[in-house]
Amino acid sequence: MSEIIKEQVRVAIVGAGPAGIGAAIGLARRGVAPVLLLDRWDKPGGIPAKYSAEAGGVRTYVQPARGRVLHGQQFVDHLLDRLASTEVELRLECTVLELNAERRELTVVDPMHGKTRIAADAIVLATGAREETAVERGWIAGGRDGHRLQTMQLLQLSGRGKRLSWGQPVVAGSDLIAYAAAAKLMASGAPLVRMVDTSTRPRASWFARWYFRRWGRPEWQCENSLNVSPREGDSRIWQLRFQNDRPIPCDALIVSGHLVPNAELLVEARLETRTPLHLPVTGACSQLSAPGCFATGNLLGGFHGGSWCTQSGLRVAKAVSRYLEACPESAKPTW
Amino acid sequence: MSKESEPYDVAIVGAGVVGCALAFELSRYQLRVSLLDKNYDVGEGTSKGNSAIIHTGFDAVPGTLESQLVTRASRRWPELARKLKIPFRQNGALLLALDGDQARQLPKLYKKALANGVDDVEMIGPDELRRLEPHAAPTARGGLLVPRESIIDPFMVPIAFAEAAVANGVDLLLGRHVVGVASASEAVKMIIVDGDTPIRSRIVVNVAGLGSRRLTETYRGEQFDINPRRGQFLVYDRNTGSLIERILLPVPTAKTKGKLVTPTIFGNLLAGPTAEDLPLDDPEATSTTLEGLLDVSESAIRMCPPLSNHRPVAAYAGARCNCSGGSYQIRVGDGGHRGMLTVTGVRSTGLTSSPALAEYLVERMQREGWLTRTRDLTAGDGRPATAWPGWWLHPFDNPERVAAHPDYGRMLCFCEQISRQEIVDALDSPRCPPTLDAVKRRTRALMGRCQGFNCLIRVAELIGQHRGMPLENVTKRGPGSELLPHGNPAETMTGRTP
Repeated sequence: MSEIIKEQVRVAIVGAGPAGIGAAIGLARRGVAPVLLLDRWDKPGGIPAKYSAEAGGVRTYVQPARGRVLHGQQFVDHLLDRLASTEVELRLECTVLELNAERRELTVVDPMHGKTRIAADAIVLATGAREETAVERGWIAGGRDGHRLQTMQLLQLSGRGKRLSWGQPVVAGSDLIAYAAAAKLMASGAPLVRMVDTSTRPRASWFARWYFRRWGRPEWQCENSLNVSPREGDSRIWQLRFQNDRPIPCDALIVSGHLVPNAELLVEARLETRTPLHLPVTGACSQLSAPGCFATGNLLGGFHGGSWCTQSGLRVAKAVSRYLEACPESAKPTW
Repeated sequence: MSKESEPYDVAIVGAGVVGCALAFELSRYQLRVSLLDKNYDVGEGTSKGNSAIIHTGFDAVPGTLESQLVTRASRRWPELARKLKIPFRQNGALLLALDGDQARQLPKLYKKALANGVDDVEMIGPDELRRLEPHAAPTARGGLLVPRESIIDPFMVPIAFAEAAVANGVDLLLGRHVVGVASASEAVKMIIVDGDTPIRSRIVVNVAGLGSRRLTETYRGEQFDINPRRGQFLVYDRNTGSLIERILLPVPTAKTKGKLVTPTIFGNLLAGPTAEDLPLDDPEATSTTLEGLLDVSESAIRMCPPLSNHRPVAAYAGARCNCSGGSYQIRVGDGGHRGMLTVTGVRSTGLTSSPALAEYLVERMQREGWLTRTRDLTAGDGRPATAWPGWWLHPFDNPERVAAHPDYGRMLCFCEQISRQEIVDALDSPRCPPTLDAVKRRTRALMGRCQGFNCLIRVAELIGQHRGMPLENVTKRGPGSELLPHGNPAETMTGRTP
């Protein structure tokens, strides 16, 4: 096997979502170069980029900007315009396999170069978050079949022009993302969308609930447990059983919202995290437990929109440039 | 197949791990063999939900057929796994005595292991135990070390057997629901297939697992009393895989072997199973329940306390084929029909015993004078070199391969790090049906911590593109499990044509 290619940059940013792009813009503004921005998807923008205008006709990614409501892709396009005026190199379809926090080195793979190594003086992790799986939630069990999807998959399907024409969909979860999923289903023609969660009231803010009312109101139900069981006869219809209530038929269960940070790189690099969600433990200025490693955006935990994440990225850029001032530029690579 | 064509020598009904192993064993003799299943992939029933362990049989009841077969198979597996290209590791097991009562049972279990021919077991004290497994329960009083217990990729076992069998000329007929067996003539049986032409064969082997009772009703007076015994499992993320090195077993009780915690060959961690008897045909035989999963998680934390800091990422349930008449029920010439062989009640140890059970069944058929064993000298004794290699190779490690095929560097499944081209390769492998579950079991895409959050739609789209069908027709495991509400997969399901 031939020698693995190595490159040296000043800062490597993992994840080109709102937080990662924010950090890149912030660093460029402070004259830090070269900056490499990596993303494993074929399009930059992270989660908001999945909320395109065509996606079911629902402007579900609410992002108030100067009195306007943008959809996700519009928001991302604004950010990308700002990024385009910088010298930052954006590398797509580049998956980070491993982070070596002590040496600040990333092992990555991409279709152009194969497996390569990237060394940096500082590494910013902006890996974002994903929706919790049904099992992680701890209150959903039963058969693994049936149309059990997540909001992400609804977005990808509607982005590909597929009709989400289920007749009796049920959304598990009740935060902003869950309401967006319900709106998308109703816009695709579902006569009734049920929404189930363990909280006594929906988790979404009143603004989000009010905003999504134009596509209809999901029928709210508070339950402590949910069991998906097959029904005799039609294999496409399942029934959901609850603790006390009578079962309801369902042809699609959308396990929605409830973000968990994508912290696997940190965990594998043995950076400090708080279990069980593996929220990164950060010191002053979002610095992680290894010097020169930073975290930003939804990776820090919580539930934030794109603007907040961009601001978080800009803040971390400030911290990173301060850190770099104290840290001499590495010698040019000798390999 | 036309009516005039020669009947098969042997037709195997049920392409689970036992059926596939039997097909492979028979394929090495000069015989015409067919393997049938109602599902569109092999190993879709009981064989897909197990604990992924190759047992030594140290705790079996000495002298039983099960004990003999498990011991025999256990010695064969290291070499067999190499020939079949199945990931396999002899990591050993540690039976933990969590209190004084359990510690007092260890000598009895030790003697039982020796009686079963597992002579390398070792009783160890608490200090040694702590040294071997620092994350095991600190209260453990001692344990029994079983060095030859092993972990394996359970999904590849039926697939590898079937691929090897097909390469040796076995006809694998999937998507055929066998509803009955009748006599066509003195020596030939007629297998009745739902909505398809019947298949004729001299010998019929019923290894249909939980479906075997339905089938026996058509050729046999009395019935086997079979029911699914559900076992629920929890899967923990890969970052827990390094907590333990060996399989941690509890001290078995009179009722059950108990719930174990094991590292898997995939690098993550598995806990379970429960043992719940359900009625036959219970549609929930492979559904998980919150109570069951809680039970599994509590016992896992008792054996490996650091697990309390981790949340399981996935859960599944398997249905063991439990027979009230005892395990490993084998009826040769069943119902007075020469050439009719019924095998049922293969419970818990089927994955381990399958190669030995297959050998045993062929020996029995020969002893009855049903067939003669003449070696087919052209038949291979492993998976052919042309077979799709497997998820463990990580082709992106090799720059030449990425240079030749950039898709080897294009990750589709981020969690398990599986590239787009690997999924295409798996779809190109012999007899891989265009379903999400088939791709998942062969490549591990969709099996990681995000459970398809990132890659489900992209994998489905790739399956569709590769087989020239719309995304609507892509299914989880065949018609009736479409991803989208308005698909019609029957028209593009290629499982029916060999």
